[in-house]
Amino acid sequence: MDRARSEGMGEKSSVRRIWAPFRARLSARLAAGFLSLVGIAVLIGPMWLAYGYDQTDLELGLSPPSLMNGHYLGTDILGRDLLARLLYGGRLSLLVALIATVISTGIGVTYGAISGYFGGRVDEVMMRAVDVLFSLPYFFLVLVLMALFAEPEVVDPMIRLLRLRPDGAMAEWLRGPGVRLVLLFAALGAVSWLTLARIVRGQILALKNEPFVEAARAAGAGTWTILFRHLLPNASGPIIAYTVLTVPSVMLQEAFISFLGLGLQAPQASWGALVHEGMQAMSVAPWLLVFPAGIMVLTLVCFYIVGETLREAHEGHP
Amino acid sequence: MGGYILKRILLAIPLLWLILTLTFFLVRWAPGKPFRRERAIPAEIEAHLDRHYGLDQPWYVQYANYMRGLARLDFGPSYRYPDATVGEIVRQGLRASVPIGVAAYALALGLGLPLGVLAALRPQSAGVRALMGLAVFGVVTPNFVLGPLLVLLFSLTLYWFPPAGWGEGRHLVLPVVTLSAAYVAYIARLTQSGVQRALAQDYVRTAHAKGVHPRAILLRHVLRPALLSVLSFTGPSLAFLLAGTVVIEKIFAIPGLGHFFVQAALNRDYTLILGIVSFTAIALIVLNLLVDIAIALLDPRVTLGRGG
Amino acid sequence: MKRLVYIGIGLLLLGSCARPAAYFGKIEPPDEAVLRVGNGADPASLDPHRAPGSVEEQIVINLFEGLTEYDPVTLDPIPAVAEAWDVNERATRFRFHLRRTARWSNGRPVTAWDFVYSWRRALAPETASPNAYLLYYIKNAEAYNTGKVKVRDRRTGRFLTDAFGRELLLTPEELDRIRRGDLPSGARHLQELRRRLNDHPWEAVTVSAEAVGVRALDDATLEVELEAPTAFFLKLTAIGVYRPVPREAIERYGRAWTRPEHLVNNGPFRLVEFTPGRHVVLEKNPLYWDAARVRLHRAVFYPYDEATTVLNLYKAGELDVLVSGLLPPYALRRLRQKRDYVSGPYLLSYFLLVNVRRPPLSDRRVRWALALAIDRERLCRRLLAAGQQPSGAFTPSDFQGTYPRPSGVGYDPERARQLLAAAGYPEGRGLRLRFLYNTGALHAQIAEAIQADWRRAFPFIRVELINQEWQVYLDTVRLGDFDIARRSFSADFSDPTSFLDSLLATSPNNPTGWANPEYDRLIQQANAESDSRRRMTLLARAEEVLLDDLPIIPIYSSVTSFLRKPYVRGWHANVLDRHPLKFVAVEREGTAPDFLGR
Repeated sequence: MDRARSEGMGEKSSVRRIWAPFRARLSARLAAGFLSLVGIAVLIGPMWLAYGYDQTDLELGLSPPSLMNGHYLGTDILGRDLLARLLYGGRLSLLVALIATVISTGIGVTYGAISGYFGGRVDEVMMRAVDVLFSLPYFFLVLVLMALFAEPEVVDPMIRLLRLRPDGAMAEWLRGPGVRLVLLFAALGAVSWLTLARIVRGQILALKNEPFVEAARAAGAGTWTILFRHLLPNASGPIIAYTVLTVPSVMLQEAFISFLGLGLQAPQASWGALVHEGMQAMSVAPWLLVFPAGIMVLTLVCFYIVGETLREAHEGHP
Repeated sequence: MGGYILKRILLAIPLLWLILTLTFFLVRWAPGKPFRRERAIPAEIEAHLDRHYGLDQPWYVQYANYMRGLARLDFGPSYRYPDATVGEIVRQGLRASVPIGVAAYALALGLGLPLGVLAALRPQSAGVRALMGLAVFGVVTPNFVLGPLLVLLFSLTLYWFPPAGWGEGRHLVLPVVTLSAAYVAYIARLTQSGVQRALAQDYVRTAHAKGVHPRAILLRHVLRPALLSVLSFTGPSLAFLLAGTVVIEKIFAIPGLGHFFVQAALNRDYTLILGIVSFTAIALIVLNLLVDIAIALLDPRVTLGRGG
Repeated sequence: MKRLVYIGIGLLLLGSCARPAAYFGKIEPPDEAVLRVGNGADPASLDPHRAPGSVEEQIVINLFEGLTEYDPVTLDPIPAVAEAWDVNERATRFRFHLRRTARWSNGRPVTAWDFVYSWRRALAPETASPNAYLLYYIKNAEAYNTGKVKVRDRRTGRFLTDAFGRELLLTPEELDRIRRGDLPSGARHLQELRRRLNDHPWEAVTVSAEAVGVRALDDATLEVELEAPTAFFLKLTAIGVYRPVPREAIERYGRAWTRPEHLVNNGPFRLVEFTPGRHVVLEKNPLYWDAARVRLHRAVFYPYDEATTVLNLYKAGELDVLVSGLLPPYALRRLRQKRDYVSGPYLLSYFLLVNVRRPPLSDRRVRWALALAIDRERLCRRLLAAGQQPSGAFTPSDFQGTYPRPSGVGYDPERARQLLAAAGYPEGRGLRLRFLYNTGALHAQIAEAIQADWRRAFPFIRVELINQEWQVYLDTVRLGDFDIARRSFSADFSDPTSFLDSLLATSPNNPTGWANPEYDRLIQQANAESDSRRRMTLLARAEEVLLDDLPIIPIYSSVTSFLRKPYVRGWHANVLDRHPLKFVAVEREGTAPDFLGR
């Protein structure tokens, strides 16, 4: 069975296999549906709203949800429309989370697989490097990243490198709020891969003496072929499980960074930042907590269910 | 095996040195300086303060002095708490962080392991699915939301536990529950996928075919390998928990290492930061070593210290 | 007219009190006479000379008693270790008569020599006291602390003075430059000084600890000589850094002298325990000379800083009183209705620093336009909602009527638009600003509201909000890498100079790059003036000069706001938020006034 799977699969069969459990399970279909809905809403929703995410009206500050004044989910302390902020914040939150997760999974899997497969001195050095990175104070890592690289001296070469027009909208965005977003990807992605690297390494370490690896080696497969076509697919269960769990953890870390004041630049907001604000306003304006926390938790649960379903599809278990 | 352990311990010394050196320069590279307040003080007074703590020296002298002190296990005075030494503050923090961290991880293991095994063995059971779903909510709810919600329910409505504070057993309950919530699902998930993979292995089938008692199979052939990934997860997680958790300690006003780390970071208390980082690093190195030994003991396929 | 308004407000309040508001959470007093204070943070140190801020001050003032003590309501200095004092007519020499009953906790009497030792220690460069600058009013104190030199005329033996009779202070570098004749064109005051020095044989005098103007005439008499007339010097003597420290314990234990087992103190309470992160526990000091009047047996200071946590603990009855500023800003709207909510004027200004070094803000019209376009009244009413006063001036609104505070800048978006257009930025076209603030409180929301006000007035303005962590923010401001930066400033003592001194050209608290000789001259003139009313008039004129130039844009003057259980007596709202526990009691009946009759 393992051997059969490790031979690799055709495109078509894999798509079918992934889709099958969705068909079998209602919760998975619901979760996928909800995520698509959220995705569509944050993409095109802001276009349909009467209010901008940064449009303030102090006189309407902290007004509860109402159908009358068009603030369907109420307003925050500055009188900004919560729905607009939720949709706009969702864009940034999802973008940050997805990209950071992809970065961290890419680094973590490659790193862990190499370390585990080559073993010996390579493994020793690579794992000690992970230990070192693990022990560095995260707060200062983020601080140094955010403070030093948000400077124009760093941003301007970046703009030239990307061949953007120096006075164009993209360059403006990078100079202003954009650079924080980019740095957030980098900071979150760069620190989230460590645990995954250890897990993958443990898996590979355990799998590499299996008979099917010997068989592949005997059949003349090269190191990278064995690693990526035989070993990693067999370790994919825990990898997918952990990757899916990385999404919420990245979003929570993003919230924590906002909490430290190093996150996105106001008046932009992420879900994490909105939830944090809502916590403080809980006693006077519960809607400021209920809606952001609700949508954030629901979205993350759905990510979880979908990821879970994918994992099962991959492992071939019901 | 003994030789391997000795080698790892010897290796830990340069590792620790590397971590502390990197941190030393990282914190000095970060913007901001110690002893800065909203009301600025005259430059001459600032100079007195810098001189008092040796911060007027060039960086290599500061570094050499720090390393010399470290060789004598002297972490120096804290800048944030000028009347105390770093050693005293770290010990103080550990007294709160260790019980909470250990209790929270133990609780998470106690809930997560059985849940993971159950989920692997009875994937169709509605009850198990519901529990897994609940565990998932534990992961995705930010702890700065979960903590206050528990406080609202158990302290301010039911008056079962105090809302915050430190000193008695009753203060432990809410922070431990909040903290473990995030780990239950991780552990359950890792256990479940480990068990499922083990169940699919040929030797398990063979054992079934041979008529070995299912419970024996589960314990000997399934659980042991399934615990591997949980174990590799345990090293870093436990080290993090021991090093204190910033948000929980803030919400529940616990004087743990996380609390002191935030204080140190916000005040650019270089010596205290380095003291706490070195504790975290030692905890991590030791726990990872223990985890690797445990993996070697549990899994006959892994041999320590050789090319594999 | 004013009285009518007050009566009206009173009636309104009565009306709203008809339905008695509720207390917030539990109100049963604790079993013993213990006061549990939410103090906001760990004290850095309990050494009065090394204690940098109000968190430490709140504890230290109960351990160490100064010459005077704060009145718990007015903060006027009242007799403490000193039972009486005289002052000469110019307010340059104070003589304190110490009470003979004052004792250290080891039984030794508190003498004038203790103050001489303590003040010299506070000023000694080796002590590295962050608050030493508060002692600079004393003769030669600044010179001793900073290592600056005074210049003496060899023939007359007199020291050279500035235009207002204040003795000149030179840094060793400045002295060196004068000697070498290396005087850059920017240093005009040095060139002038060199010309003056050319006429006389002169010598530079470094100042030793013995030269500091504090002397013990005998065990019970302390004489203090000041640099210049300082009528408010008495107020200063209650500040922590002026309080005496025990020589025997410091010389014996060094840095560890503040530990409970070593600490020797003279205040109404003694230290039982200090566990960082957890609490500081004080207990009544039986050897204190006025112990009969101290009614608390114990006081515990908690360092909790998370606003919601503090509120929960208060509600659950685990805290009895909070220092000001700990309440979650959002919850204030609801808490204001509660009977245990206390609020009062506070000497704290919230304003924006403007970097006047570079365009566009080097143009005074742009600064005025920005200042005129902020709707402070609405900001205070709708956003802050704790009773903060919109402010057009730098100094806060409450100096108990002694200071003729200018009204400053108001709200006039139409004029703002005209001014900005005149400056070359019609409707804000081409105007681009970096607005810096730090994480925490409502700083982000205030910045966003101001940004919105500016956008409303000038549709094309571009304001980039930059949020930085506290220490990073302090660094950025200090380096002058901002256009606009939010700032708040609280007084060390209740006198306008505690604010106005900070915008002198040489002040470390002036990162705006603004320097106005007229302003500096008026402040210096006021500081040499011994008549209190004339002095205040001069200060107000200086502030008018400041508000005409607007290197800062005023926003509001703050209020203290905290919660206090009904059984806590003697803990009053006051303008510095200082609360000596000597006057505080925990009452079961809740009706007995404290011994001052309040």
